[in-house]
Order: sequence, then structure tokens, then C-alpha cells
Amino acid sequence: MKKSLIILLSVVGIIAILVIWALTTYNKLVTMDEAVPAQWAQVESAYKRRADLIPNLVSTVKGYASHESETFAAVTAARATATQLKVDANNLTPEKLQEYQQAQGQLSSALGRLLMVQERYPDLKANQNFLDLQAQLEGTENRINTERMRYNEVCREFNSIIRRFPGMLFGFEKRVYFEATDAEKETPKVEF
Amino acid sequence: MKKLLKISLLGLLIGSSSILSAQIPEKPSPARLVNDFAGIFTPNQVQELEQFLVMADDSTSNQLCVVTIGNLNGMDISQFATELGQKWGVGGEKNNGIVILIKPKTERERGEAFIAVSYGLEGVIPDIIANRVVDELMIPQFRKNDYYGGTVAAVDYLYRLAKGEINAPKEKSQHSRNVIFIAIFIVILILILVSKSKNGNKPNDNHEHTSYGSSALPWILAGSSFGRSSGSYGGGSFGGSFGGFGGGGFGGGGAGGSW
Repeated sequence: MKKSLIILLSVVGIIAILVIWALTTYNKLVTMDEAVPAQWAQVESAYKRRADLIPNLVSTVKGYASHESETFAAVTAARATATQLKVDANNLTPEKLQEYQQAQGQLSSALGRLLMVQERYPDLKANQNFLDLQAQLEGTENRINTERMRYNEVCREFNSIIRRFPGMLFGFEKRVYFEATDAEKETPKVEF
Repeated sequence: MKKLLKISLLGLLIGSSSILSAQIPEKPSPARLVNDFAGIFTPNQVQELEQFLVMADDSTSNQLCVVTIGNLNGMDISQFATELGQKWGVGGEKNNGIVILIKPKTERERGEAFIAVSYGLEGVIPDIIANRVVDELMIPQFRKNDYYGGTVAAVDYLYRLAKGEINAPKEKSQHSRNVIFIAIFIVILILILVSKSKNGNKPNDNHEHTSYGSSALPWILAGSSFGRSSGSYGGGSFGGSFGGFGGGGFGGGGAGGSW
């Protein structure tokens, strides 16, 4: 009688512990599930910040190097493609992320070519406005890197929890991360 | 399945930021605002700079942290400075921290400097300004091997800029302030109860009710200004030590240069 009661109680206790464990994990996952889109928004705003700088940069360079029209057209087109791409963080497929990255990567390399123009125009290179824009551009690149890295960090933690017990019981979907593409390896390096 | 594996593997490669942040020095204990890991300052200079920065923290709550390091472990200086600021939590609740990171020039490598600006100060110290501080105040001095002169000039300039944005003296006696707030709260509560019960007894006598309300005002004012002044007395300890980092966040703001 007493023995069976002890067994019953301990079984109930173990079940209770498991349930509490599962519930805390579930709550944590729900919180993180919200954190991922929030961090994605940070990534997007960093990219948007860069896109916002471009018209100013183009017009400054134009003032010194008016016949580089091909470069200007390439930057403007790449910017348009990149800003038109709308991504929903809650159903981000690997394909969609790749498309997004590709568009941003193309913008990066177009920007790189735009910055290269300065080598042929010493006046532009010495222009204070241009130097300031370069500093701003470098700053946005830093922000993009930081936010992307944090996005990856959040996703990685989320993914590892949903693969482990008890997180695997709730059927959350894996989040996709950023990967460095070839185009991004040639992001404009601003030399001072 | 294969695809998933591939993605997670790539993710591991790219998301190896925790490995990166492991390469960043641990938060100094006890907390210090000047961390001369590279040993480019004399002990006197370190002490002088630390005193100035502690004063800046006490009087404006802005935390400027100077770090020198001989080796960035292959990281970008901007990333290193940003992650260091984030890891140590330079700045307070207003995200008002600045990290000045200096990697001195050696025979083989170029010198590099970066000013990382926390979110709350990005408005008053945009990348352009940070860039100019590095290019015009720091690097010319650093070229002459005057690390201290360049750092002091930058610190002084950044301190004044940051002060223009956030200038909230540190409240070290938080506890006494809380007690005062609770006391005020209780006083208000009693006043409300008293006026309510009076109202209940004499529903038509509005005059007495308002006179209670207005007499509470000077009390509240006296209480809060008392709290403030006692706070600043407690915080104004001259030559005191640094109270600790407050958890400021860094998102990649700031700029740097090399020589």
C-alpha cells in the first residue's frame, strides 16, 4: 500500500518535472520565435540605410565624373532591385533568402565599382562630401555585418533548441541563416 | 535532408560569432574604463585618463572606454570594437557608451584605430564625426608616436559631444531615492483617502477638497528635489573608482582609420 503510493507519487513527480521542463522550453521558443523576425527587421533596416545613402553618393560622384553613366545606371538598377524585394521573416525559405542576398550582393558590387571611379578623378577623391559619404557607407556596412551576425546567432540558438528534446516536440520550423556569397566577399573596402 | 544539413553547416561557419566573441578579452574585473592591454601608456597616464573618464561617467552617465590591444586575432577592427562594447556592456541604459580601440603600429603591421558608438549616441556622433575624430585628432598624433596626446584629444572631444546629448548625473544613492518615492506615494495615497472620506461626509464641499490637493504639491516638489540633491552628493565622490559597465548596446556605429 505505502510502497505503491511512493511509486505513484514519484511517477507523478517525474511527470510534473517533465511537463514543467517542456512548458519552459516552449515559452522560451515562443519568445525566440518572436525575436527572429525582430532581428530580421534590424537586418533589413541596416540594408535600407545603405540604400538610402546611394542617391546622395551617386549625385556627388556625378558632379566629378559625369561620363561614368554606365556605372551610375548599374548602381541605380541594383538599388531598385534590392529595395523592391520584400521578404517576410516568418516564412523565409532558403531560396528567398538567397534571392535577397543576391540582390544585396549585386548592389554591393555595383557600389564597389562606383567607389573605384574615384581612382580616376583626384578632385573627387579629395572632396570632403565624398569622404563623408564614404565614411557613412563604411558605417552602414559595419551595421549590416553586425545585424546579420546577430540574426544568425538568434537563428542558430533557435534551431539547436528545436532539434533537442523537448524542443523537438513542438514542431517549430527551422530558421534559415545567412551565408557569405562570392559577391559579398568583394564588398567595397573603403581605404583611407 | 541533405539541403538542411548543408544549410546548417554553412550556418555554423558563418554563425561562428560566439567563437569570435570568445576572442574578445573578458570584461576587466574590477571594471576599468582604461584598458591598456598593448601597454602604450605610462601608469600615470592611465591613472589620469581613468580619472577623467570616471568623472565623465559620474557627471553625465556617458561611458567612454579606452582599449588598446596588440592583436585583433584576425578580426576587423570595427567588428572587434563593436563586439567588445556589446560584450562588456559599455554605456548605461540609454545606450550611451563609446569604445575607443587602438591597435598601435608595429614594425610589421599598420596601426589601426576605431571609435565604436553605442545606439544612443549615434545621433550626436554619426560615423562622419567619428571618422573625423580618428583622422584629425588621433592619427596625426599617433604618427608622432604620441598615443596619449591623440587619445586625450579624442576623448575630450567625444566627451563634449556626448554631453550635449545625454547629460544625466549618476544617481548612486538609488536606494534613498526609492524610499523617497515610496514616501511620496504613501503621502499622496493618504491625501486621496482623506479627501475622499471628507467628500463622502460632505459631498457638496468642493472647496476643501481642492485645497487639500494643492497643498500636496509643494510636498511632492520638496520631496523630489531633496531626492535629487542627496543623489548627487552621494555620487560626487572625487577620485572615486568606476562603478561598472551598464549594458549598453552596439550595432556597428562609428568609424575608424589606419596609419
